[in-house]
Amino acid sequence: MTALASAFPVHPGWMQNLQYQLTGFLVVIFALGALALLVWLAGKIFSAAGEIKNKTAPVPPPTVPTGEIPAPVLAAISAAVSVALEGRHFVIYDVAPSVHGAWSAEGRRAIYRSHRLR
Amino acid sequence: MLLDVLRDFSSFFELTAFHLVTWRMAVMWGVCGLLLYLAVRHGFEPLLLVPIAFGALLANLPTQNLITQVPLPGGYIDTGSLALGLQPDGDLLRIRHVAGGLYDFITQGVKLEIFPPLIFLGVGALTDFGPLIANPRTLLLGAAAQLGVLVTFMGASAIGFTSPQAASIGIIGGADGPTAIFLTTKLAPELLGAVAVAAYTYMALVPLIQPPIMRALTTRNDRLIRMKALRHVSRAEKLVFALLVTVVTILLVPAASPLIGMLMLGNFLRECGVTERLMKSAQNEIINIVTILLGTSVGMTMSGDTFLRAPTLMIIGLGAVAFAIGTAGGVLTAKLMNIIPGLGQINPLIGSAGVSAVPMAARVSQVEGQRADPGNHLLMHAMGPNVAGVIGTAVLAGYYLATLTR
Repeated sequence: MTALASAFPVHPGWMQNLQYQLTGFLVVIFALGALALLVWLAGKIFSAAGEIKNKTAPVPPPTVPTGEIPAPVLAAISAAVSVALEGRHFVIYDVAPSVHGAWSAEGRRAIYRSHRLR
Repeated sequence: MLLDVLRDFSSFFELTAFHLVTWRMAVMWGVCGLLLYLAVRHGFEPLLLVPIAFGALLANLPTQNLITQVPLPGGYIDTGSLALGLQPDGDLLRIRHVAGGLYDFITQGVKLEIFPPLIFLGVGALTDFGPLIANPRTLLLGAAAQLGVLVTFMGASAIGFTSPQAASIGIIGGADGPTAIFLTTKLAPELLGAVAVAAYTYMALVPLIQPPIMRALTTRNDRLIRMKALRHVSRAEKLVFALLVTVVTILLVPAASPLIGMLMLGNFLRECGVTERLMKSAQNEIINIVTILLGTSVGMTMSGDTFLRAPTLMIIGLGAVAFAIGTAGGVLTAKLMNIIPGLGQINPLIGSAGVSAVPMAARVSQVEGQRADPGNHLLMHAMGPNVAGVIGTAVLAGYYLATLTR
């Protein structure tokens, strides 16, 4: 760096400038690349530590609702659909559990709708 | 009696400042009006543009006891010079008094490079590095987006700017205001006003500049790529990250220490969970007060004599080039990373967020992603390269400081 500092002129030639910029790019890539590697390694260590911790505490099996849907739940679903469709007429033919994170997707959609973007 | 009153009244007018107004000042009032209009009416980075524009207005009025302007060679003007009264005391010279206007003192926060690192303290306290830690590959996108800085340096150098000036102009492409001010103060203080205004204006224009470039460089299939959900990052991991970045970056580029050190201190305060009061101060009072002082001090450098020159227009033009190339560099590198098999696909739209401008650039990635697929949420993925860009720009500024400071 010292040699570079003393050698780099105020008005460099094209090739000299290109070499200087490539060195700078390499410095940035090296710095952030080294960080990426270290962060990845740290992540692996933390994940491994987390797995060991989870093995000691057994996870209870997920509860799956069975049988008919209770009337109050159906009423709540109907009310939600009515609000979402802004009072338009509708008929519910089927009710099924959400898959592929539909609820979280809807939540995110609602949050992003609240942001005003130019 | 009446004649005496009229004579006194006319002699009072000689004490006013109307006769000191120049045409350059009047033109700058228009520039200040435009900046205030963009900030107030259209919400373009108002937190910075309002103080900058108001400071510029004050710089272009014949003020008293506010700031000293000293002409420099080359037509530039040095603002904020303190006059020291020295008194010999044995072998020492003692300061007997310090004279200057209000902003001669406040501007020392810029000249001594105190304000930009304090802004970084607040930025660190406001930033969640979780998305970056969960997907460390995105650090490389933050590095790739620095291409704009490097190419613009070469362009500025080719049209006659000196190397320190070219570095200050190129860093506009980093889209990081405090870093641009930090570097320019050190390398080319005569360009501070133009560089700061260009940097903050383009940051505000990110939603207009980036989308056409992003669309031109990606196919529809690229834009439809859905990325894997990010894993949960624990508090301990975030604390280790803050320490890692501090140690590694300062060891590699010591000249970036004030920026990186304060950024990571702010982030450590945020994540450690036991310094809530300090974190809130950094997130609110400190960053807000320093923003007012920094913005007005930068505005004070925009006197008409310095600002209304051909180089200012060139700087504003080159700043746009730097932004565009930085955006393209990030997008193309993301596409390149998708060639490597087995690492999971990256939506190239998040590459553009590597040009810092936190969080606006990440929001642009989100909006563009949703335009192609309304169910695709790229915001958190884009925050990775976005905050990596802050680190990348600080590293590059450190490289320029280390190699160009004489």
